[in-house]
Amino acid sequence: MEEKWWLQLQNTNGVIKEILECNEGIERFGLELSEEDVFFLVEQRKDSLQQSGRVELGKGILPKLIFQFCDSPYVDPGNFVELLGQLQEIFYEYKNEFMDELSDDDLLECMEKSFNGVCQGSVEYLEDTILETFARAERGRDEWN
Amino acid sequence: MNGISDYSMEELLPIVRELAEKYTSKESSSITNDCARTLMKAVLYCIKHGKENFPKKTDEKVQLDSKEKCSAKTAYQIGYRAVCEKVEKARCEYNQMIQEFQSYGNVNYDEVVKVALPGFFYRYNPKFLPQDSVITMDYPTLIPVVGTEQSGIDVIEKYIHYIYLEQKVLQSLDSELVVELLMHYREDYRNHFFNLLFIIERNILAALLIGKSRVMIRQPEDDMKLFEQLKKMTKDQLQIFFEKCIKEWVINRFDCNEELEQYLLEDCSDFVCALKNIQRPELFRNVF
Repeated sequence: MEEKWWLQLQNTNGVIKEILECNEGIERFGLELSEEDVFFLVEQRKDSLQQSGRVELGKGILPKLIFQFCDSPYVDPGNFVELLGQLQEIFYEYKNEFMDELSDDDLLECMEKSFNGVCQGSVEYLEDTILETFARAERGRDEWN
Repeated sequence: MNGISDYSMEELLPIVRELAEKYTSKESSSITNDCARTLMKAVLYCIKHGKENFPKKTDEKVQLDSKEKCSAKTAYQIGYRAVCEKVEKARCEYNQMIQEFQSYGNVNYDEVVKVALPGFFYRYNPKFLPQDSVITMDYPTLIPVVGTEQSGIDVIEKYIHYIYLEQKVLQSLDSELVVELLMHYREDYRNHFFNLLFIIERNILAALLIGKSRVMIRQPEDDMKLFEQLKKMTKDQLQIFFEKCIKEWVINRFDCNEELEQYLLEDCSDFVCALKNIQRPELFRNVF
């Protein structure tokens, strides 16, 4: 069997178009993604998936991520793309850390609430402290059960 | 005949994708690479299973056997149904066997049959992990099932069937005699991980070899007689004699059950070798 055949499960067709369509919903927050931004994010998605040993089945998490964070008080046009890239990487990392026990929506909600709340817009604090603590608690709960 | 090699990755991937969506209940847009690999194995297992094991000559079987290639998805669906049918068949045989099951006090045998096998039916997942045998099958059957190429329900079905055959033989004897023979072999037989039937079978064959019509606990004079008898026979002669005994035994007591005959014959050559290697009569105890 081919090496890394599972990468073919990824359906990249239409992903770029779909992300660009998100612009309609985020315009009112003064945000916009150019084609260049989207290409950058899609490339980064590939790296993040490879790094976390995951494969995406459908359109992926980026559209959801965009809408979840577009109204954050800590987001502005200057940091939006970079932030999305970082959050995307964290998302895949913690899907693994939570051992897939958390659905996409639950993890996104947890990330958003923490980012806008206790983290006060700090991605590092979100990644290294908050999500790490939650994930450890989840693993502990699993071991306990 | 359609083999797995007939299907390209492009045909198999949509099935894996569909399965992955069911696996995550569409709550997750991604899965781990390991999970993708496992799901692909599940798809291949079902396709292979359908091709090899579909029990009835139904339209589905005709479809699988037809020269025109049926789609990978159809082959998978047929295979999946065949896996589910096999699980039900194994469950029926287990339910039948457990009613009269006797472990003769052997803890391992008891736990495997009364705890592990029901655990298999509880945990087996034909959709996402049909290739997993779930349990370790610690009780060794005469024909080994562990370490073979088979897995999942294929191996468990066989395992249950072998235990069922063993029970037929063991239950045809007085249970007190069975316990005595096992005790004679090892006083602590209750805590050991070995097959019970081979001890009983060997005792029966040895009794026949020294011309005893009934099997009972061997006395030192029996061992001496057996030792003398073995000196007179070659390995081949012994093998032929035992095979004949087993055949007659199965014809007379078990309605010519060919599967049972094959099962009992499995230990024959090992027993012959073990007997021919015995240097002193007292050492028979190590063999049976």
